[in-house]
Amino acid sequence: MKKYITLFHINWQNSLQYRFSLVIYIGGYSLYIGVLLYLWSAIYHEGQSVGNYTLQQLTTYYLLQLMINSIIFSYISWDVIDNIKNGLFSNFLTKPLDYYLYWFTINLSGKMLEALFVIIAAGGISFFVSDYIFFPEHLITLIYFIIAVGLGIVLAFEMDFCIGMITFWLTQVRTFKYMLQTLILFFAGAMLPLDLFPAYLAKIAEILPFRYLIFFPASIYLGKIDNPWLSFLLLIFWIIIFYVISRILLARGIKRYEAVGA
Amino acid sequence: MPISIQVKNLRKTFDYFKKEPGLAGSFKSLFWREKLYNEALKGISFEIQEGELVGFLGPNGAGKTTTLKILSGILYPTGGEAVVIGHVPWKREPAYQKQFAIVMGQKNQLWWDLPAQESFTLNKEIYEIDTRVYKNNLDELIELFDIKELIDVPVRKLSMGQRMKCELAAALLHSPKVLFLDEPTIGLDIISQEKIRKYIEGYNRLKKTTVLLTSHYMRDVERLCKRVIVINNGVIIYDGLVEDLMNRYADYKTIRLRFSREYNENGLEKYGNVVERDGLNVVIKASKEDIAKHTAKILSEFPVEDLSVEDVEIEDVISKIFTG
Repeated sequence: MKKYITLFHINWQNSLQYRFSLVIYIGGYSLYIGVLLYLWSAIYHEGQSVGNYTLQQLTTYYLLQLMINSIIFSYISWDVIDNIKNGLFSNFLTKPLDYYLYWFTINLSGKMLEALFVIIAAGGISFFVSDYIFFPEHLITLIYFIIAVGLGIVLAFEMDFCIGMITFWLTQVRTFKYMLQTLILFFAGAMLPLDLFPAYLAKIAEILPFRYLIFFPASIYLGKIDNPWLSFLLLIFWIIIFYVISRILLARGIKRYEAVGA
Repeated sequence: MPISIQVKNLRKTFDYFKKEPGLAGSFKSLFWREKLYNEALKGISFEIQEGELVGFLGPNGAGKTTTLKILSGILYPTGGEAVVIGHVPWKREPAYQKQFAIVMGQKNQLWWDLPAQESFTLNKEIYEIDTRVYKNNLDELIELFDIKELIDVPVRKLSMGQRMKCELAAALLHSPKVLFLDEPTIGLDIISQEKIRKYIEGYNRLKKTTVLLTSHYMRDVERLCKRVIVINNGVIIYDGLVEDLMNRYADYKTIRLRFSREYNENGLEKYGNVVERDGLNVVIKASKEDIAKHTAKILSEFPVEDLSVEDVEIEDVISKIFTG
């Protein structure tokens, strides 16, 4: 266990090497939010209403979408892909270190750091545009929200890890990854809240597990879900499913790697 | 001495797909691909005693790295047996992993943007090294490899030679009983190469660690190893002392001559093969047995200004073996 804690710390240090890129990150982030607010307030001024969302709810949804996107979505598969392709994966086979837990730790440590910066940035911005932002009335809503985000981090990691595992079989996995990422973001509700989808798409999105990555936590925050416990159970069920898939893919991938080499 | 590494009839066959050239070939391979086999190891056997430092020599693609990868559990063999310090490597038991290390000259294991010290700390935890033992080992390695000033600098700012020293130190923190080195001096300048050799030799002497190192720099092997295993096309073609290898394949020495004035060219031939002739400078390959007699005769019969007798370079011996 201690090895993964040390890994967590070292990855923080590694990320903090790039302080300047963090400044740019926060700057770009603020700019994006500004444009977003401007756009939506313009749409609502035309007298349109969008589904059952008020302007405040919809801008909050997109703000949340942005935050959640940084905090929940895992991007470690880019590194996993490189790692397997250039043969550095060999190092892991020679060390008493679990590959799944290694990336889980790296991801978690990265996400926590990113969450810290995103919360600082978003907090600063919402201070200036508080009229546009929805704040939940009850503390319990916030607690549910945090649980949903926590579970979302795990599920998003597992999905991303599975995508990385494809590298064992397919060398040109990067284009594939782009495709999947767009698809996942779409069905997660990054572009549009899922309840604004046309009926048939909404049904598909309902079944897929990707909704738990953005739409679900955002809906909790907006107070649209009163009792999330059943959804939490389903989410945990998906986490277990993807954990098993991750493990199977890793074990098979190693078998293949052992046969083929770097 | 107990046996450290035992390899019996080890085989490894890689399969891959043939692709015909051009775009048409690419399309064709979408539907139908011909499977080809590459026998990287064709049944090799050897034994290495504890504390030995053995060189694994051969041209690119001979099977050196494949062997090391099998012995460190990265590759699964097609057939045969291997036992390293009582473990079958490809089972990848943590008990085995904590007792060996592999360093690949072309692959960086240290965290690129952080000082090596951080990677050391992580290795301490990965290998679950006791804090006191770790401190001792680290101090020892810092002194042995002379890296006191290097370990607090981000790895990306180190030169290749400096990085290699840190790579070695990182791999040795857990005092492995067996050390595999794959091309440890690759890409280094001559001085750094010599330093790395010195450190490897020093560490082996100090710790009695079994070292198996591959290289295509003959100097590595000549300088470090008493014993050498020569491999080509997946077959071991020589396993024995470096000295014997030299004796067996190098039955001649090189005589370098410089004359003070014009000389009779024909007379030289009877003392050996003239391999180079450049004005007054001549190089002769002469049979080892009569070397003393012949040099004496050359000295008395020719206007010699300077004469030296040199042993054959191991490079020449190896290339002689490989070209048959």
